[in-house]
Order: sequence, then C-alpha cells, then structure tokens
Amino acid sequence: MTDSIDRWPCGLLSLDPGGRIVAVNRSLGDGLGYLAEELLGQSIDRLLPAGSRIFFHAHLQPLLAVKGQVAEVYLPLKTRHGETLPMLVNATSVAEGEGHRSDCAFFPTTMRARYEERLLAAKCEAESERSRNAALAERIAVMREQLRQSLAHTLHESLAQEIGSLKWRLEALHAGAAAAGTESANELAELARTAGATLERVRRLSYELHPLELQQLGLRAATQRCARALAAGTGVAVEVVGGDPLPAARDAASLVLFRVVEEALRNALGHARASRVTVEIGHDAGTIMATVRDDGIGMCAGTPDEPGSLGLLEIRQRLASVGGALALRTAPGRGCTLEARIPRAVPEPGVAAGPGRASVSSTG
Amino acid sequence: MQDSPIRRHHVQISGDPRAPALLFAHGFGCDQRVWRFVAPAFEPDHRVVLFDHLGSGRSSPDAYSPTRHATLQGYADDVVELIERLGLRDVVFVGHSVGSTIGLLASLKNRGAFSRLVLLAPSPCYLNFPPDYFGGFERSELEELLRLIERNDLAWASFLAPVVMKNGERPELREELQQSFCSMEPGVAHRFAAATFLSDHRGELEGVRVPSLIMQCRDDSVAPPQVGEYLHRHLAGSTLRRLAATGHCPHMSHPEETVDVIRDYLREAAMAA
Ligand SMILES: Nc1ncnc2c1ncn2[C@@H]1O[C@H](COP(=O)(O)OP(=O)(O)O)[C@@H](O)[C@H]1O
Ligand SMILES: [Mg+2]
Repeated sequence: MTDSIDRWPCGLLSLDPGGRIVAVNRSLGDGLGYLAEELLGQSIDRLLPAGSRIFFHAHLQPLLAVKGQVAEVYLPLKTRHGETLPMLVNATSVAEGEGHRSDCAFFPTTMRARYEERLLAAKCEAESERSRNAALAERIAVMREQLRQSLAHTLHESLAQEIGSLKWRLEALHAGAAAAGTESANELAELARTAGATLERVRRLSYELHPLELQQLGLRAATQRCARALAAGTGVAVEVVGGDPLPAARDAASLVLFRVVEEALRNALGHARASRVTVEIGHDAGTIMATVRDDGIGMCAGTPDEPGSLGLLEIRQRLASVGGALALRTAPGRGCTLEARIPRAVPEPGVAAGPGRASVSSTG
Repeated sequence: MQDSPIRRHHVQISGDPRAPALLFAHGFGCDQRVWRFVAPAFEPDHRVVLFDHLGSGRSSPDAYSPTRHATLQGYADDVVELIERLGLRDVVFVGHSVGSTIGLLASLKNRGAFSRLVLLAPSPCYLNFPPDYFGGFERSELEELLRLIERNDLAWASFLAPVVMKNGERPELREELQQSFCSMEPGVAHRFAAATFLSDHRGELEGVRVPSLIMQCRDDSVAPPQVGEYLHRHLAGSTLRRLAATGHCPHMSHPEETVDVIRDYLREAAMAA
C-alpha cells in the first residue's frame, strides 16, 4: 500500500475471490498485532473469530457478490493474541479477472459497541415492558367486556323478563277491563304501552353493552344482524359478504372485530352520505380481518381525529389491544375503506395468551 | 390465493416444463438470488424451480411462524408442501448449506418425491461432540454468532421494524425491507440461525434413502472436510465430490465448477437408471 494509505486511521483490506488477503494497510496490522507482510496471502479466516467467520461466509460474501457492496456491518476481528475487537466494516466487490476482489474498510467501534450493548439491553427492557403493558391492556379490555357482558346478561335475562311479564299482565288486565267496559281500560292500555317501550329500551341497552348474539350466532351472523338493524330505515344498501366459515378466533378478537365493524358502519351510515356499504369478513394464513367500504363523500386521511370524535380513536385502541392494526383508505369524494386485521395467533413477544371465554356469571 | 405456497415462497419457475425438475434451496442468510450464476445453466434441459424459505428474501412475511420455523422440521414441511402443491415428481433437490439439511429432512417426510439430493457445503451438525464428531464449532462460538446477528439486526432492521410491522397503513415500508437482498426481519434471522447452527440432525441421516451427491469445498471454514466425510459414511447411496472451489459458497464463487459437477452427477445418475 502507498505510504499515506498505509497509515490512514482505518483498517483497509483487499481479498481475492478465495478470501485470501492480497493487500492490507499498516493501521489494520498494527491494530491486530501483525506486521502487514505477515498477513499477505493468509485467509481472512485468520482474522475472524468463529461467529464472524460463519457470518462472513454464509451472509456477507454472497451479499457482496449480489449487491456489490455492504455498509456498516458489525463484524468483530480477532487479534494475534486471540482477543476480539469490535469492528464495523464497509465493503465493495470489484470485478477482477474471473472473479471478484473485495475491498474492505474496518473501523474499530469499541466505544460505540459499549453504547450499543446498553442500547440493546434497554431495548430488551423496553420490549418486555411493552409486552407487559400490552398484556395488561388486553386483560383490562377483557375484564371490561366481561363486566359489560354480565350486565347485559342481567338486563336481558332477568330485567327484561320481568318487564315482559309485567307488560303481558297489563295487557291481560286491559283486555279484561275493556271487555267489562271499565273506565281504567284506557289507562291500562297506556301502562302496557309504556312497559313495552321500556322493554325495548332495556333490550337495546343490553345489546349496546354487549352483543350476546355474538356468542350464540358467531361473528358473521352477528355482524349481518347488526348491519341490518343499523341500516333499517336509512335507505342505504348494506351488504355483508364473505362466504366461507371463519376459523376459530379468540373471543377477544372476534368481539373487537365486531365492535370495529359496528363503529365503521355507524360512520358510513352517519357521515358518509353513501348509497352502498359493503362489509367483508375474511381471513388469510395468519389473520382475521374485516373491511368496511362505502361509496360516500370520503374525508381527508389523517384529519379525522378531532376532539370529540372518539370512534376511530377507539377502533385503533381496541385493535391495538389484541395486536391488530387499522388501515384507512379514503380521500374527499372517493368513499372510505376501513380495513382491520387481527393476528389469529397471539403476536410473538407481545400480548399474553388469549383470554378464555368471558364467563357469564350473574353478579347479582 | 394469499395462502398459496407459490406466492408464499416467491416461487420462480423457468426452463423446460416437461423436463425433470430441479428445486434449488438457498441457505441461511441468503435468498434464491444466490442461484443466479448456476440455475440458468440448467434451463435448457430442466424445469428450474427457485424459492425463498419463509422469513427470507421475498417470501410473504405473514406466512412465517415463529413456532413452526423454530426448527428445521418446519422448513422441511414447507418444502414438502411446496413440492406437492407444484405437483413435482422425481425432484432433484439442490440445497446449499442448511438448505441441504432441509432437503434431507424433507426426503424423510415424503419418500417418493425426490430422485436425487445435491448437497452443497452441507453439515448435519455444526457443534463439536468430541471425541466422535467435530462439526467445527464450540457452543460458545455459535452463541457468539447469534449475538453477532442480533447486533447487526440492531444496526438497521430493529429500528425500522417496529414501524414496518405495526404500520398497516404503510405496507410499502415492509415491501422495501423485503426487496433488499438477504434481508430478514429481526428475530427471524436470529431464530433461523439458532435452528440452523444449534441443531443436530446426525440421527436422521441413517433413514435417508434418496441417493445424494455431497459437494465438499476446499477450505470451507463453515462446513469442514471431516463433516463431508462423516455425511458420506452415514448417507446410504451418497457420492462425495471434493471441489477445487474454496470457501462456503461455491455456487457464487465458482459457478462453472459447481454446474459441471452437478451436471456430471446427473448424467451418471441417468445412465445408471
Ligand atoms: N365513512 C366515513 N365517510 C366520511 N367521513 C367519515 C367517515 N367516517 C368518519 N368520518 C369523519 O371522521 C369523523 C370522526 O369519526 P369518528 O372518530 O368515528 O367520530 P364520530 O363518529 O363520533 O364523529 C367524523 O365526524 C366524520 O367527519
Ligand atoms: Mg363515529
């Protein structure tokens, strides 16, 4: 090497196609405890600790051959005395005769390596913290849903039953009074009507707290029923598609998907001025997903998070709680497509194992 | 369609569709593009099939499973599924490095599918078990490799990855990561490396019935010569060829010799049949 390059503040090395050192500067030799001359003709393996050796031959060399260059690869070298020196390497591959010569520049990275060590530790820490939080968030979500479900159940099963029988008895009394021409007949009719309206409201409340039919009918049928109920009287054509049966999903996942579709439907029917809304429920290898597409006025993507608008925000949060994600494709005048995806299996380091079926215990 | 193994493995088919099939399996840290100097030579008289292992190259990220792909058996199941779905028969399987181990395991799962196995720089076990077996590495050295991989993840992919994986709204980011040759998502590389370098598949060798060609490179510091000899002793119907090629990737560094040796072997096999 020419004198100046010989002393440059980085290690320079050229390898022939067989991985033999054909040029090396003095800085690198010094750093590793060799005379540069001693290294000429040696295999690069001489300078590579075992881990680096495999990484170099299995990954870096092919990478160089195909891409022509690599940058900022962490590749420790080994000194004459067997110590490991952390290094970063940039390398280019230069066509030469039949094969390729590889030119490498090494930078010692001892200080940086120490930071990275700490960074890596901090990252692991953050990762496990995050997964604890995610697990906690899912548990909270599950418990909230359990509570709602048990309230819904109580409302639906006992309260609604009682009001129902009240209504039925009032109707019977009214029928008797009407037949006898008693003057309380009108009042009884009015009371029966009120009981009927209350019954309707209690059922609605129960449903809003928790769609009990989700467990009874499954996601697709429950969605169909929900779509029909929401669309009634709006004049908008709502269609639920997706024929094949859904794979068994975690309860938490199908509930989230149901809620997401419900909110998306409310938006499409309430804001979009759409004439047609399509809901699609499906799955692929690793995910279950729902798409709600409308042909309405659309909106500017990125601006819907106004204060007071909690629907989309809640959708995102619900999805995040089960490791899912939301994609919103929309533009003014272009309708709106909302796609929610939830992994079928629990994501790797994150959320804890899927919650069991929410229990339906009457809390009194 | 998302589910089709052809899509999942980014399968590329070329050559003569009626000719015998050659299925190329890349090794750790690479993807199917490593075959670019070798595969075209077989196109005139073979049906050439290239694919990426799940988690590598341009395979579909959603299909990768941390549990299925925690061991090489998962990768071998993939190969069998791929062969069955493509309707291939009498496949000549060409595997490099861990790709060859995956081929050996696959041949035990579907015994009828393979006619020959071509094993480039193979090793059934990288660990030393003195005094009987020397895979070339101590456990601590292989753990050092895993740390190295983690470190190189840290350098780029792991900072990008949370954005990529969580951001369903920007699939192009993930695409970009996928496009770069030999790139793997963080975690995937580490897990694949552990499955590759810390496993021991010597026990399965005796069961292999498909005749094989072992191509042993000179000065291969990943799969040393005694490993090739060990394989030769334990694989029934195997042929051992020592190459003039040096290093661990003869298909990249010495494509002509690699092609010639495979060709000769297949010609002799055809004559013997
Ligand atoms: N499908 C849609 N088409 C057009 N605009 C929509 C649609 N969905 C949501 N929006 C707009 O985004 C805003 C926020 O929606 P959201 O977060 O659900 O809150 P809210 O429905 O309570 O207003 C809506 O007020 C509306 O302006
Ligand atoms: Mg809303």
